Amino acid sequence: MFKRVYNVLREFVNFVRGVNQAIIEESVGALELEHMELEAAFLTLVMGSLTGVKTIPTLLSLELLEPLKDELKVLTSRAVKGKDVLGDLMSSLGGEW
Amino acid sequence: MIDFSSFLQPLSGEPHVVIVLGKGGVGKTSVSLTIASELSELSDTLLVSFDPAKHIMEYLDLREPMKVVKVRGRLHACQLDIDLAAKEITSKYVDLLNEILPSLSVLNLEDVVKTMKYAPGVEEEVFLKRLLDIYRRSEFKYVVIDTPPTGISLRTLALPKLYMIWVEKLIEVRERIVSLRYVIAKTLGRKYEVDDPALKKLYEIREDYKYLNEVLKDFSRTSYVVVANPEPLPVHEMKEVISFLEGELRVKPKLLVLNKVLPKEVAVKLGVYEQQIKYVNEVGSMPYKSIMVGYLSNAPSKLDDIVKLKEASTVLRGGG
Repeated sequence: MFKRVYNVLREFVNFVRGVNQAIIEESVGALELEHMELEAAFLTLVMGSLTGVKTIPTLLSLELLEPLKDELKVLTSRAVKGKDVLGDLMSSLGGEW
Repeated sequence: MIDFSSFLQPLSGEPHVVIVLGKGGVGKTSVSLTIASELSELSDTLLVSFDPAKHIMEYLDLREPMKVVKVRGRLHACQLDIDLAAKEITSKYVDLLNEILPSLSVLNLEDVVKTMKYAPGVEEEVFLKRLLDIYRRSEFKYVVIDTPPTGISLRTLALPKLYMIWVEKLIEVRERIVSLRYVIAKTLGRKYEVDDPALKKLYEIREDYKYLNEVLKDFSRTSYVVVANPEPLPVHEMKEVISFLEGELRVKPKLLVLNKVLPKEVAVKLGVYEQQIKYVNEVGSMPYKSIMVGYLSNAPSKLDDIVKLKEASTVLRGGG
């Protein structure tokens, strides 16, 4: 009896934790999206002159290559592997669109 | 015989940098060499030529560019080669570019880097990097810079301000990214590395250009000398340079040099006497110290020729 109550309570606590986690994930979703887009905008600003868009001075782009190495790889990978970029964007906005 | 460097006092700050500006062909190299030679009698002096015409290599018999060579006594010289300097800077990024942006290899990466030096603004950026190195060097007390033609020189001098605007904007966006990352990580209970290398690099770059922007405007660290001939276009460029210095950098030239002033009889014979007098008076009436240098039948072509140049000089205006 005691074990059953314990299990029910544990399930309940897990349920509450899950709901809490879902609320947190939902609340940071918008922030994550802004973060992702801001990163992409920043990298485009920085590397524009290397890819044909004249933005910041070329040597400044080169100087920032090393510290932005990992982010650039992620961005390139997203650009190359992303099949439905627009779909990704819409779903990250909440899915009700 | 006139001592050009005495017009540049005070020469405080180490190194004190003398930037010689003017239209192509007016005698910037001869004036730079004269000033550098005089300063080398006081202390260790470096003459750097940014001029793509590479006149000082001929003048001082320098074998190769980009090397600091001892010329005589405490006078050293170095000719900048824009191609080599750009290659030096860009070549170290080839491997990194290849790793990060392999898509560029489709366009043949080597060629991308090779052509990078022809991209708009790269020449000025290379000059700017060298300028920063010069101000940070401590082994010379004086550095004299023989500049490339006016347009490039002025753009280069204006660049630190432009760079600051760019860097400030990038810092603003980057700081927002870093703070968003922090908030997300904190909310989700993830670990977060506070140090951001890109932001750190941007702060470093901002400091560099802030420093350059300050020293270029600092009367005690930098002296500007503007050279012209008594002809319409060189004097017009001299006025443009002065207007840029006063408008953009908020500094005044320390010395104006009116070079290649023809003897009266020759000027009369050539029908340019009136014009010459007009420009001599115009430069002499400007509120800066100025020197007039007579025309030398044999243009200076070696270090010893600067004695003749000094002998042919007279003061146009002594007070500022």
